[in-house]
Amino acid sequence: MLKYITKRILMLVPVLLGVTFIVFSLMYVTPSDPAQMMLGANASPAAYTQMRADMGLNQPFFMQYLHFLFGFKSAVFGYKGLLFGDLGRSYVTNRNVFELILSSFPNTVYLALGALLLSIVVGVPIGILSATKPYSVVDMVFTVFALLGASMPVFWIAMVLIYTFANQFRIFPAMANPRDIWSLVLPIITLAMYSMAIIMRMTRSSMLEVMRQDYIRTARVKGMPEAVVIRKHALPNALIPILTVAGLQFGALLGGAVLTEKIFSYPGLGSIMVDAIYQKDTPQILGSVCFVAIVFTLVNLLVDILYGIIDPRVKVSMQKARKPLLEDTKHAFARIFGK
Amino acid sequence: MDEILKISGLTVHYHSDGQVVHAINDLSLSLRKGEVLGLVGETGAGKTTLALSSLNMIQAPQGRVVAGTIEFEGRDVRALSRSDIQKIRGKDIAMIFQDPMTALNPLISVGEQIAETVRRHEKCTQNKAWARADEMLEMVGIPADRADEYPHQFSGGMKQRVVIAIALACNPKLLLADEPTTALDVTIQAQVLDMMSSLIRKSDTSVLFITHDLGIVAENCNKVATMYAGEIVEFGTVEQVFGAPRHPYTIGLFNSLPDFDVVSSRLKPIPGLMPDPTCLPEGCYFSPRCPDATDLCRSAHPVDLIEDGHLVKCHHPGSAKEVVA
Amino acid sequence: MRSHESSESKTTRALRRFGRNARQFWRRFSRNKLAVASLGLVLAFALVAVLADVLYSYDFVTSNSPENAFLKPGAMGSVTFHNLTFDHRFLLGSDNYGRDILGRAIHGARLSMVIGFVSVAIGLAVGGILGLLAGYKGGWFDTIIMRIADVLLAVPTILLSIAIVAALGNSFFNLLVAISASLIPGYIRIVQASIIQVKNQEYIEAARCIGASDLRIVFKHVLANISGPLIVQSTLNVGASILWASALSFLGLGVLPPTPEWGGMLSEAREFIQYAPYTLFVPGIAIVLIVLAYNLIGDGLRDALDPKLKQ
Repeated sequence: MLKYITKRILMLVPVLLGVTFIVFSLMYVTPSDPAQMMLGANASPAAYTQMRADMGLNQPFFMQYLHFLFGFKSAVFGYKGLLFGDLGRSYVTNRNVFELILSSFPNTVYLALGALLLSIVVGVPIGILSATKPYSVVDMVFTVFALLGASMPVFWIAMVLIYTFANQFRIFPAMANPRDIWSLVLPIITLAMYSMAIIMRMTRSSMLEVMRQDYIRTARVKGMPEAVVIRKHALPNALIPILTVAGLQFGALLGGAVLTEKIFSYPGLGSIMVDAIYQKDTPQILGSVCFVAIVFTLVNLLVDILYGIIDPRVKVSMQKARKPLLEDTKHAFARIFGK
Repeated sequence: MDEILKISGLTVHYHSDGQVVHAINDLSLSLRKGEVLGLVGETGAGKTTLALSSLNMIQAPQGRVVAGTIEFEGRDVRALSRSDIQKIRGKDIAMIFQDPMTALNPLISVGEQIAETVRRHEKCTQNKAWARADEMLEMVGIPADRADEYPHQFSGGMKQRVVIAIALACNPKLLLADEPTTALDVTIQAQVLDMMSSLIRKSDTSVLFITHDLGIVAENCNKVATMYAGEIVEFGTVEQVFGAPRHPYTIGLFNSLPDFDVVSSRLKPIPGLMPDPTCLPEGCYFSPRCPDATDLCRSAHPVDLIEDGHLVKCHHPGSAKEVVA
Repeated sequence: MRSHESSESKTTRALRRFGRNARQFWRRFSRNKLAVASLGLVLAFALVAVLADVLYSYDFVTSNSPENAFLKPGAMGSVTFHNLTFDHRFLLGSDNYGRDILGRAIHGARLSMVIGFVSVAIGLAVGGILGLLAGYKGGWFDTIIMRIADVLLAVPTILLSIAIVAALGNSFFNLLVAISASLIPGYIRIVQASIIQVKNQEYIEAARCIGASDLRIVFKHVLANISGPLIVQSTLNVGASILWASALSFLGLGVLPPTPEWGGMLSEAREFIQYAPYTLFVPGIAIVLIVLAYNLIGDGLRDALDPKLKQ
């Protein structure tokens, strides 16, 4: 089991590096010039060149990338690098971008998890129901509902809900904050719409696929009542791909949060990003994106590990893989280091 | 005259893409207690549909039993309530299918898949069910300490043994075996068949053994029926049908078997293909392929001719070339 | 037998086969009434988009006339434009700058259509080629290209687009790049998976035995295998692109006001929802209708092209 996890973590590293590389490349090509911003508009060319050298901006692309990861120190200027928690310096606050991210991200996670929970709690049962009565009226209604949910822009849903329930029918507040659960109802429903639709449809098609399988026929032929067939035989098999979907939806939810938090004046990472976009604070934007990407990758790792625990087919292949891996490593070492 | 399974005038249609597939056409068949009946036919003859009808498991809405009755121990299977038929399935009538690779639930251990049936039908405790599961595994030649393992950890042949263990766990009175060894290697086939035969003989189970392999029928069955285009075209004891086949289709099947003793360069298949089930021919369904078809054959549907328990559905039975024994 | 039928050229035969397949496909597709209706809707939108300049001139919808702000749908207003003053009926009302909402929505339709199709085309081209390389060459190509796809997928799509546009600056071109970048990994995976699957099929071995060349085999079979999923995915992607584009312009990235883009219109409407709700609903419903239509068509295509018939 440990080997499986280690293997998965190792496979993560290139992906994470890739993400940081993309983020860095984007920072590199940004039109705004950090040296310029430091000095102001009326700087002499000599001072400008000096500042660029001091900031390490005259170094080759790849060197700068390494600095980005590991840090940079010069007489005048220094930063610790991404691997030590320094995601860049905000143009606006001139402080480490990471501070603001860290203080606001938990709120966003709170919202995203709420939305994910709602999507699953509503989406899965409806998907199952649709699958047991395919092409019936009920199924059609839910399918249209799901398609609508997947077609509406999340920020529009937010505004419509606020208009209807906060302005016209004053049931929920227009502004949300993490301490007041009642105020979270509208934002969570807003965020959940899209994921709910996706999960509903995926559950339905997964169930339909599973119900077609031979082992379902075997269960019926054994005389098991339909309820048991669905609950014990079909459902567990159908839910496994849904696990992956849920993990991916978490990423979509984090993205959706960016679009909706500001509308609800909710103090999460999304609001921070929207402000940063407005203020053209590129380091803040890119740093936040990088951070979310890393978190998302870790969430997917978690899903992978969960697979290893739940699905016996994966569990066993792990155990089987253990021995040959050890043997192969031994042989490799022998070949490299000696006869 | 204890007939455990009596099918009379069964007609089953499937509706697909606006067309009607005539899967089974006015079929009558009966199986006595303790008999092993081999049902022989090509793919598409309707053998699986027949077996599924006996359990009232034809998939609605595409499939419908249009006419006829199926009686198990004198009770009309189609008239039973949902819970009654579920009590019969797995307990009194058990069925095993052709493809072992997909027949077992990948997420449940093999032991539990056996125990589940026992628990439901014998209404016993968890422990008793598990003990029986272990017992059944041993009986089919799998060590009981593998009961906690999952299907993908077993080979095809062993999976099929598990399927057989599940089927026989509650001592069914009737076993419907739908080509149980077709998907297995020849050597494994022999093992599994041996095991099945001894289990069946020990428990005196009646068996409907569906296969396309005449050799298997010869070794394991005491009665045989040939099925073509949804009908039984010949029926009798193995001695009667193998000794003196009377329907041209059966004769053709025997003729197409390669003969080790005769040196020849060509096999003798039956020319043509089975008719399109959405558009069956007039008269005898076999007439397009029959070497001795007459105008009568092509216009009038043949009736059953029975002699001494040997049934043939043909206008001119026994007129086709004799099988060289 | 075949050589004697050479009175028909290969092309004619191929076209005939194509026609037969097309008719059969249409029969299956048209069974889905919703999908056909959506196709009609999309064509209607496309027509309107093409005729955008004819219906409302671009300058007209981007110039302010503050005296006409917040007119209700159907109201008349007096507009001064190019030194001409005339009465104009604002069919769907006017926004906070007095601009005709319907006119802006129609031009927004054109913009969205273009963004949708071009982004998908770029994504398909780049992703398809990369997937082809990965699947066909295998080895290091496969590993590296799939890793690139993984990296692109590690960033949630909206955020990736935001990052790209924020870094590169607001322009139509950068918007296209940003959206295409999100679509590329999906196409890489579809194409690569299809090639791998076909490579392993037994009928490839059979074709090889008769002497067909590798490239020809893979090409022919992969193309047949892949065109279905690609068409379905691309249709759905057009809808998704329109959603993302509107999200970006809502945030103030990509195309900026006064260019009429549905997302941008919604952003401007935000402050005035209570006062003039139609500014919120017109662009929003336009987006929903178009994306829903594409989703329905994509679904219908998927069912029509699915080799496993259901009923």
